Amino acid sequence: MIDASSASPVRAVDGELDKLMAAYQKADVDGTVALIGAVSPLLYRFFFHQCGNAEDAADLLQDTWLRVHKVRHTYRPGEPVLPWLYAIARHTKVDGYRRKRRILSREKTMDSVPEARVPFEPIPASMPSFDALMSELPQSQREVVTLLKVTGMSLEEVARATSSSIGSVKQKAHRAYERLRRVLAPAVKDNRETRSNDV
Amino acid sequence: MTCDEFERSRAREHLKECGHCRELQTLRELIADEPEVPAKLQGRITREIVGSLRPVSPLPSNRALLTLLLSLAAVACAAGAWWQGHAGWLELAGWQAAIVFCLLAAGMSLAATLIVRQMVPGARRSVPLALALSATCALLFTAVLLIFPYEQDSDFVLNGMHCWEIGLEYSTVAGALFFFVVRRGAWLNPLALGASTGLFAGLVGFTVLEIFCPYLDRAHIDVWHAGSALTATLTGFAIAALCSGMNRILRPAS
Repeated sequence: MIDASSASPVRAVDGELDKLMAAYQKADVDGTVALIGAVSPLLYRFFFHQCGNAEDAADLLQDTWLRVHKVRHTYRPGEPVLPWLYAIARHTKVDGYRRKRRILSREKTMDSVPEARVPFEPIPASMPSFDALMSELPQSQREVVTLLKVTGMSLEEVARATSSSIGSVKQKAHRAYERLRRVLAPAVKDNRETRSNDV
Repeated sequence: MTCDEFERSRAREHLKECGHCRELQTLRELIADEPEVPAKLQGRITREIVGSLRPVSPLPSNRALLTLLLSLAAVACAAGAWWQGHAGWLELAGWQAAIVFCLLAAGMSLAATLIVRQMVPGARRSVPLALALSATCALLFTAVLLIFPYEQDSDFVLNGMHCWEIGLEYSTVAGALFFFVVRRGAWLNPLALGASTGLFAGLVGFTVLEIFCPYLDRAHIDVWHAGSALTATLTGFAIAALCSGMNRILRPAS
């Protein structure tokens, strides 16, 4: 369900993206800068929630833009921009994962333990963090939930971005919600009890 | 009240009643404060992209690409029939020709559609095309077993190798023609795109062999004619894997 209090930022820019992409294809500098400004935060969030790591998200964002730049002619004016963009982002993420595994397989383990990632945002004490919730899900379900809930894409857009059918996206989302519900239930219950005690 | 406001008020009312959606709303609140793109990174990306901006023309429509690919396939088949002759066509009974060429045409159409969809990221997928294509190829293989007789051939390998070579020659010609169309695509999954292009080219080779080859032995057709299509598929896959590997070597992971 979409946030009832405010419209998704993605929906707000969705109509504009089409025009900005057309400007990008025509090598219009202002349009291109506006497109990068509008799309980069969406992609960065997608990668951040997928990797749980700001450094990897930054690398993947840069790689994605290089790819987008190379294949920008494959976008057809009038088509939805986000599925096109996320399909490229998704493949960049898969390639990035493979590359990372290749590097790790060649690296030697060190004695010193690397520092743990500092959480990006303060997390309410009674609630699990978003990353912790996402880590409960299998990769395919995590991807679908991130695209639906973080980037605010529609079912059809997610289906196009992940090269699957709408039915399959619905099924993955349903399973993910069921699992999240089970994980969230105790925290929500605690929260409600705390609130009622405060009152 | 606008439609948007109406939808929001409906959503608010629904949230009051539905416990499941309230739990999902909690999830939504957890991701309310989103991470920001580092300004330095944003600036670097903008500089790199703006620095190499050139106008590009968008890809033609799917229908235009499909027509182009199928026309190229038809040209390659016609060239094969003209160059090699059409002894096979004359040997085939009408019903045999109808079954084999309909299945080959269906296979080529599916392969071309699969290629076109892979060229454009985020294309709509209503039918699992790879599955449909595999089913058509399996059907073609089975149909050959059922509709052609078994004939004793003392030169099974020698005759077969001759057909296999011809099939591969025309597959190579068709593959080279298709490459000029396919290279404009996004190549997000090079191995799949290479294999599909190889299969499409292989089916062109198969069609040329069916027009040219007068041997109507089912073993000969399934082993050597279908074999040349299979070889073309594997070659397409191998070329794509080689190019990906070269790309990886030229652009080291570090």
